[in-house]
Amino acid sequence: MSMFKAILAVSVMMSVFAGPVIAEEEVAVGSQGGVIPLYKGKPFLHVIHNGRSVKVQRVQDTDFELHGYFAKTSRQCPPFCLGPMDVHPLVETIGEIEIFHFMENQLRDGTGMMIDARTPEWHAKGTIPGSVNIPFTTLSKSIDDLEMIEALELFGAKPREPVGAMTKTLEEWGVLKAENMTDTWDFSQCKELVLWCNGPACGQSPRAIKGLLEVGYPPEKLHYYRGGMQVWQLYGLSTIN
Amino acid sequence: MVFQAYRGNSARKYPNRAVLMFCLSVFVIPFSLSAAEDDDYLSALNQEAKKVDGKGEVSDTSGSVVTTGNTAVSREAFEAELKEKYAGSAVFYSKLPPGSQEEIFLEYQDGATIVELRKKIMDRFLHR
Repeated sequence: MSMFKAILAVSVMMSVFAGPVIAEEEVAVGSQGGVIPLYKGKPFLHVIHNGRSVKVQRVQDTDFELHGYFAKTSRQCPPFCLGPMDVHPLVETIGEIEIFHFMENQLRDGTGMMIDARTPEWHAKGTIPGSVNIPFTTLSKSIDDLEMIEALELFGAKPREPVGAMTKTLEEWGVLKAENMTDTWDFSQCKELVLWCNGPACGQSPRAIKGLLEVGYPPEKLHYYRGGMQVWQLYGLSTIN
Repeated sequence: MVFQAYRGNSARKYPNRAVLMFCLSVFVIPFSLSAAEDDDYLSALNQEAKKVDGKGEVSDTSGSVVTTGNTAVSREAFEAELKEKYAGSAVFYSKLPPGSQEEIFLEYQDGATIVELRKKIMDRFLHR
């Protein structure tokens, strides 16, 4: 009996001492206590931007407030009207966490690209690290336009040799594999793209996505970051000029 | 009859011209309207882009430097000078959170001496 009491007493004491330690760990977050992470367990990450490694993290000052253009609540509508959550039923709309995963996976292993679909004037004033500027004006062009052809090749799509009637028929019957192929382009090896612009009231990346879909880019390889620059900055995430 | 009256005499005299006008209205005008809309959108975008001055927004690759207000250029000069003349302090300064960096820079603007600034940098770095 006395043995049982001793064990009980030890466990009570342990729980009393363990309590404050756990509580301290829970509050040790923020500018005074430590790092404000990208998300729980991920303090920061690195991406390659223009050939150099760039750290992506959040502003560490909990008192920091956003000022300037991206702190504005409203813009003239039209043309800068709030857009729907989805650009296309088959194109996935993503948020910041998915961007971080994309940066660490597809971007790092070369199977994906992040596209700043804004005009160069916007891009020059700051962008999300790891992004490449291909304006929507380019991605809205027709399939036989040189700018569009260059963009598609950059994305890993390949022009097809002229397809004969026999091949076409066999492809239609399913004898030959024709998934993610049009008559003129082979999209089977193309990269996954994240397209973004200035935020929910920006029409530039939705236009770029529609342009890519029109030329046959597979919708499952396109992702729309609707938050764009405005939400990215709202969370104090690193940008680069 | 009403349509005939509407077309008028010139259409009767020059039927080819009427066909040409019809083709123009069907095929050309929608394209030109669409082009005009695109031009308007691009023009609005360019106007809007001019409003972005990069001040007071989250900037820089490290995420540790935040420019605010109209002080961005002076702050760059301050940081460059610190790096050039007091490399050690510059390293500790660069590791400070943006709020502390801002505080030190504002003290620099208010005329604090370099001795005071270097002490402040170490105080903030060591959480004193």
